[in-house]
Amino acid sequence: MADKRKSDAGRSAQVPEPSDDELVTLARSGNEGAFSKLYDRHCKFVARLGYRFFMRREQVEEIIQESFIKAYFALGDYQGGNERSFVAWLGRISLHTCYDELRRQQRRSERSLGELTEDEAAYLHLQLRDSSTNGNIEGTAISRDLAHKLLSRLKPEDRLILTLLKLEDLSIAEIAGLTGWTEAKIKMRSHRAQHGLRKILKKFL
Amino acid sequence: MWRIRQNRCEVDQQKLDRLGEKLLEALEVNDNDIKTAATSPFLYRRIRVRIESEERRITEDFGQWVALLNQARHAVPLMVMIAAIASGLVWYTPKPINPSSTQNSGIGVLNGELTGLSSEDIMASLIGWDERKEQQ
Repeated sequence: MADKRKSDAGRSAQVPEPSDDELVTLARSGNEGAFSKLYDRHCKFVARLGYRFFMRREQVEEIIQESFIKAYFALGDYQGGNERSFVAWLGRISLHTCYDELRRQQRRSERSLGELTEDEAAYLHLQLRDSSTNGNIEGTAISRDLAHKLLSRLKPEDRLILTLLKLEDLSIAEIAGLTGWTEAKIKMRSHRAQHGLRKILKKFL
Repeated sequence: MWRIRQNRCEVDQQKLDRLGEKLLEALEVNDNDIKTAATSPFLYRRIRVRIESEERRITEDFGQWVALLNQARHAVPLMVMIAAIASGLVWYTPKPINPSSTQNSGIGVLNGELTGLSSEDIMASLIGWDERKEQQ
């Protein structure tokens, strides 16, 4: 009995996991389980992208939800091909969802444009003075709040490009592919974004 | 002096850029936060519900269009018939009588609009016509 169970487990371990493209084909034909599997595989990736632009968990959940709904209805447009193409395709959808949400927030003026607290200003000063300190800004709640507070003052396009350039380490051509904007526009925007960020930081220092 | 100021400005700019980069790095979240958001209870259920409601809406919209087209399909012959009757009536209605041919009769006076007379003129001429008749 135990041997049989072992051999069953061995057989199931040998069954290769279906690729993203195969799951997409199944999901297109109405297989709910295939879409669920795609969701399980790539949900964290979308969440990570969402956290680049939004601070609150509910906002990130909203981004995950919108991205997967858009992806579901756009499955027919997915062409597939190489190994990473589904992730890239989903990334593009998620990025556009984040961008739309940023723009919506800007229209509703929901951004947290309040002045910096004394702690935050002091923290910023300390960071500027002691530029040799590396890494301690990461992970702390104060720095994340501060970062979101300051970056929300940038235009959504500028924020998007800065994030993709500096955090995701993408090239201009890759960003152009993701956003659908021209390379010239991205170069110009990144220059403006840098300038804008400097201006914001100067204002609070 | 100008060069010193420019150098200081450049150093400031570099410092600001470094600080900006640090701020961007601060947006990096740890895996726990990501996992919490991604494995949020009922998130996938919510997605499925939204997808189903969206699909239902699309089907309903499509149904409405089909119903509208069906109605239009029934309405077209009726509209053609009405148009045919209307054009037939226009074709067979007797043409208006030429005012010049009735100039000397009493009817000609009634077509005051055509001759540029106002209703008061018509009334006056009618009364005058009656008086003349009585005198005769």
